[in-house]
Parts: sequence; C-alpha cells; structure tokens
Amino acid sequence: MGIFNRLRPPLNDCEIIDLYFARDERAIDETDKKYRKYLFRVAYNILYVNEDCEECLNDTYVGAWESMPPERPTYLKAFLTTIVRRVSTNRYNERTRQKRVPSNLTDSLSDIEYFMPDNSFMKEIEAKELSKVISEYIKSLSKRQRYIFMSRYYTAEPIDEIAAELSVSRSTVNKEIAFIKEGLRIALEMEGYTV
Amino acid sequence: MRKEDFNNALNHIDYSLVEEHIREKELLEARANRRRSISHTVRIAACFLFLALISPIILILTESPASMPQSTTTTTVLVPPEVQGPVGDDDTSGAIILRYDYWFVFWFESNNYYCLFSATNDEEFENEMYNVTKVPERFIGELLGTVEVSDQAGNKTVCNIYAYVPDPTHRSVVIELREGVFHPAERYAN
Repeated sequence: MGIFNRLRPPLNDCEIIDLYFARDERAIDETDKKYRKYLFRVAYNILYVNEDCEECLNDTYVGAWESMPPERPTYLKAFLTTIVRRVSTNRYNERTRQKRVPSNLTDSLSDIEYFMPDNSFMKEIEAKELSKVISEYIKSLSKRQRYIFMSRYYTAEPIDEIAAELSVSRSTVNKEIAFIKEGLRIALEMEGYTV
Repeated sequence: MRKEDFNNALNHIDYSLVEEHIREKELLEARANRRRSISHTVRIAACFLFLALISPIILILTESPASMPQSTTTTTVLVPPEVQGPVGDDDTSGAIILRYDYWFVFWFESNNYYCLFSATNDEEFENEMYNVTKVPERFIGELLGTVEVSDQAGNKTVCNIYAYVPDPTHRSVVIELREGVFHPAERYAN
C-alpha cells in the first residue's frame, strides 16, 4: 500500500489542510510527500547538518499539526516555510551560542552584523517591533531587491543560487545586496536603532 | 546576540512578504523549467535537422562511383597500316595517337560513333572519365571490335571500339579493358 501511496500524485493544498482539520494523520504523510524536499532545503541552508534538518522537519510537521486548526492558511507552502524557518533558526541559535556554525545563514548574517543594534538581549516584543521596521523596509524595495533580500536573509540561499534563479550575474546580486544593506542600516537608524 | 536578534525579527516579518516570495520563487522555477524544456526540444530538433542535412552528403560519399571497369582483359589487335587517322593533337578533332600501351576505356553508348577516351595512367583516367568526345565520322578508323559492358543499373550495352592510327608504324593496339568483354572484329579475330 505504501508503494501505491508514493505513486499516487500529491494532494492539493486544500485537501491536505482538510486532513489536518479532520485530525487525520495522513495530513503529515501528504505534507511530507509534497514538501519534504523543499522544506529540507530551507532547513539545510540554515543548519548544514542532515540530522538536525531531519529533526527540524519533524518539528515542522508537529508545528503544522498544532497550528491547523485553527489556522487555515491560504498558501500552505508559505505557511510551512515560516514554521521550518522558525524551528531551524531556533536550532541554529542554540548551536551558535556554543560555537560558530558554518552555514549560509552565518554568512548572510555576518553581512549585517556590524550595524545591528548593540543591545545585549531583545525580548519577543522587541523582536516584533524590529520586524515591523524590517517589513516596512522590505516593502520599500523593488521587486528584485525584495526577492534577493528574502532569498538571502529569510531562506538563507547562497548567492550563486539567487543569481541563477534571477538569471543575473553573481556580481549583480552582490551589488544589490550592498545596496540593500546600506538601505537597511539607514532605515534602522531612522527608527532610532543605534548602530 | 545581534545576529540572533535580526534572525528572530525575521521570523516575525509580515506574512504577506513570505507568501509573495514563495509565489515568486515558484514562478521563476516554472519559467526555468519551461526554458530547459524548450532548450531540450530545440536541441533534439537541431539534431534531427543536422541528420537530415548530413545524410544526403553521407549517401553521396558512400555511393559507389559510376561503374568503372574493374576486371582487366587484354587483347592485342594488329591494326593494318592502311588504317589511318588525321594527325593532330587536339582531342576534340578526334586525333588520338594510339600506342600499344594506351588503355581504352569504354563508355556506355551502343551503336554510336562515340570515341571513348584514352588515358595512360589512372590519374588521367579519373580526370577524363566524364569527358566523352564524340568523334566526327570522318575520323573513325578501323572497327576493332565491340565490347559489352554493364552500367550501374545492370543494363548491358554494346560499344564499338575504333582505332585511330595516325602513325602507320604503330601497328598494334593493346586494348585493355577494365570491365566487360571485348569481342574482336572478324578481321582481327583469331
């Protein structure tokens, strides 16, 4: 029966969400079947360790199970992306507290480290405040710059991959990132975040 | 802790930005897949086009040349001294000096007074193969015989072989055939 399950085309998002709402455990199987490869890649860009990524995937499915219901996302892939990112970055933060972790996220964050606010610790509410500033800044960017920002800092993709997706050169992406970083620095300063 | 703060903040950014990003990503992937698919189709079509263009060339190159005499038979014919032809060094006038070491190569025209060409070596033969000279009747000398040859399609043809002997001192003609069977004329048949 497992073989036939694999051969069957994946369910669409609405059908998968209905399974979650029906508390049918097939929801997890169907989510894994459809999005495993993509979610694993997002986790891997952040963590670089297969075992950690597998654990994050499992945590992501648990997070999705606990969220639906009451959440009924309009776009399941984006919804799962937010969960896997949160789970992966939490795992990443745990590891970096102990040592430097080689990963795309480490590279991307080192770009902007020098002008991040020099506070010792931010609480959840402060993180949300900062996220509003960042969101507004992202919305002010052009479509391409927005894509580059999200790819580089949200899903931690390598620059070569971003360049290939946009069909531009690596140097073009680097230039855009330099522009984005400078703009972000200015935006944060304008909102009172000291650099 | 600063990187961690930025990272945490990103976890709380406007959800619509995440949705927009994922949708855009899917769109770009679909476009890339389409481009790859078209590129693959174009490559296959180009291969077929290349084969279609090159196959006639291959056929021409591998095609066997126009049927050329392969086997060799040698017949010596003694030409009587009275058989003479005009002296000249212009092939088109039909004046061909015969010597016994000349080869006669036979063309596939039956019952016509076509003089075939002669050559002293393979190179000349190759060069002259397609230059058929029609000899005016007044230059036709003694009929030495006939030869039956076959063309590429297997059609048999009988050709008349004439001698041109401008120099009466040259009395013998060696007829060397690459293909076909030479039937000496009655006069020369022994």
